[in-house]
Amino acid sequence: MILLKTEGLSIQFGGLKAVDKVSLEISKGQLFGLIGPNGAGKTTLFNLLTGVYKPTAGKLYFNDQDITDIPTVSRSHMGIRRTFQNIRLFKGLTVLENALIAYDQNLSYTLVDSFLKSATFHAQEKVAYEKALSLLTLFKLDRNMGDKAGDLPYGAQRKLEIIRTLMSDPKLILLDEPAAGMNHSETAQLMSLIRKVRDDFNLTVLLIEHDMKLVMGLCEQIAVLDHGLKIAQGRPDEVSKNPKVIEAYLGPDMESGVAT
Amino acid sequence: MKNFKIPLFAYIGLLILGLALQFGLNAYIQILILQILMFSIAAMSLNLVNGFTGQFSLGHAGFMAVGAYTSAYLSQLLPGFLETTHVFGFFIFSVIAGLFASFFGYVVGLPSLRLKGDYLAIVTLGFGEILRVVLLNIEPLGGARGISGIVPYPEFGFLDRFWVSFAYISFWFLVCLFFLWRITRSRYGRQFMSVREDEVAALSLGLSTTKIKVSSFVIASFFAGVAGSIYAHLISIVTPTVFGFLMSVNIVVMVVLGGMGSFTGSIIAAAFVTVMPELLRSVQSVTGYDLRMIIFSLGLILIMIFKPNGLFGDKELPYFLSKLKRKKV
Repeated sequence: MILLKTEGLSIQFGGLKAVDKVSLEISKGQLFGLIGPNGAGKTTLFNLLTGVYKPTAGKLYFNDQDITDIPTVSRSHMGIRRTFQNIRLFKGLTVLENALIAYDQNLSYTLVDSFLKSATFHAQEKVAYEKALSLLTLFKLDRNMGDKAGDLPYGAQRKLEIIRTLMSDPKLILLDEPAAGMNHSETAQLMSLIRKVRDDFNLTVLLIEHDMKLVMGLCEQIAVLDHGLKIAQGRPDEVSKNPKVIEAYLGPDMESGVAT
Repeated sequence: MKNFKIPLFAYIGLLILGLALQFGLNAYIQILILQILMFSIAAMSLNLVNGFTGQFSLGHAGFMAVGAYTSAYLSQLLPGFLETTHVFGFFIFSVIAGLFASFFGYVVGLPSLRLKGDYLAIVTLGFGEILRVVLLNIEPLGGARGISGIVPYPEFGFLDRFWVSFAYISFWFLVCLFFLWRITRSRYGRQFMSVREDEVAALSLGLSTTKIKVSSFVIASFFAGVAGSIYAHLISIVTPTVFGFLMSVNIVVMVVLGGMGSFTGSIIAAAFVTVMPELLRSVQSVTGYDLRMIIFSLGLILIMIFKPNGLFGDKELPYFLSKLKRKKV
């Protein structure tokens, strides 16, 4: 079953076609990788998928529903959550608060409830706390619960961003370079975590990554963007042998394929 | 009721304190104390917008004006109502004043909260000035003369006017403090702070930032309106000029000085900003010149140099008390 489908999705900034007629189909439960050289339009595509940008042409379907004109907030409520390439945590708030904010759409108590500290308030806050605690424990951040998010080491901040996407049981998460700035062992850990999270939460994952080891080892399906165009798609081994991909990464005159 | 033990005890404590103040202090200091309570309400509510939500508003006195004029006009419109209904009449007036002010907050906030930083400050400043000029020109509201002879708070047997005012104002003071305290420690507080920290991230997590900013503004305007209503009956005269730019700035000073995001800090700063200029009057008798404002602003500058985050930062009073206790042990 197809969860996310784009049809000829394009966006143009002045004369620059940042994303040019990209058509993708991502099946439910898939680990889908998006790669491409710098400036290929990967993050722009993410911004189109989450509604930060409006496409100049093309359609976008989520669960067979046309969401091309639906704003960011509603897309988040539908279950599309993302992380950011240049981490966007609430730096002055604690790790726990960061996680709890992401759970907000599942809470329904009112201002009056919070003033009266009613039973509803306590019950819902408890559920939220337990959800946050279980995810923080899974990502081994429970010890840092009370720390300011901005004080965490880089790798932990990336993890916290992933936790935030997971708080309200999303259907699709978009990870923008989740392993950037992580060392090899951290990346390996992250790989198994992403796989585990996908299996445990029945998620679909779309990720942008420069670390080829992570993409090739993790993703079941990979699309390659170059200059806004989708130049290849397929299983990791197919993509890594694709001459167009090698050309995009290594330049046109190179013969042997060492894309990894 | 279980959840209101602390505010209830605090209120009873304040009532008894009021009794002591009634007999122990002269009228001059009494009115200062009442003003501190009133400005605390204004400063705490502005802290919700400026400190928690991170939107710099410079028009808080405007919302106080709306509340003050509402209360003043109502007591003119319904003569005798306050005398027959006693404190409840004042309460009803304050609530109406607050609701009317929050309506203004909604109307002003909805378009202007799309702006950020300095631009928002300019728009809210503009609102305050526009309101002042409009009030100057509305004849039924007294124009430049304003409304005078507003019904003051009543006496109550051996409890004099000060005690009743004190009891009434500290009631609203505690409502404001505990309301803001509790909502900022719930999902609403997290929403406000998420907007302050990173709007893009908040949007991506499904939080409607415009709605959050406007609701923060509306809540703050409500309490500003209440503070205005209190002002009207406390001072007995409202004129357009009192609620000018200077008062807005004063409230902002209280928020910044006390610490963005610290309600108890706002209270302390409200007391400081209200009392200092009065205390410095004694300096004038020594030097012969009126150096009050120079010394006062110098003091503010020094505090900002040595305590750039305000007196309390984003911490509340209990945090410092527990720290003190630990030091002693």
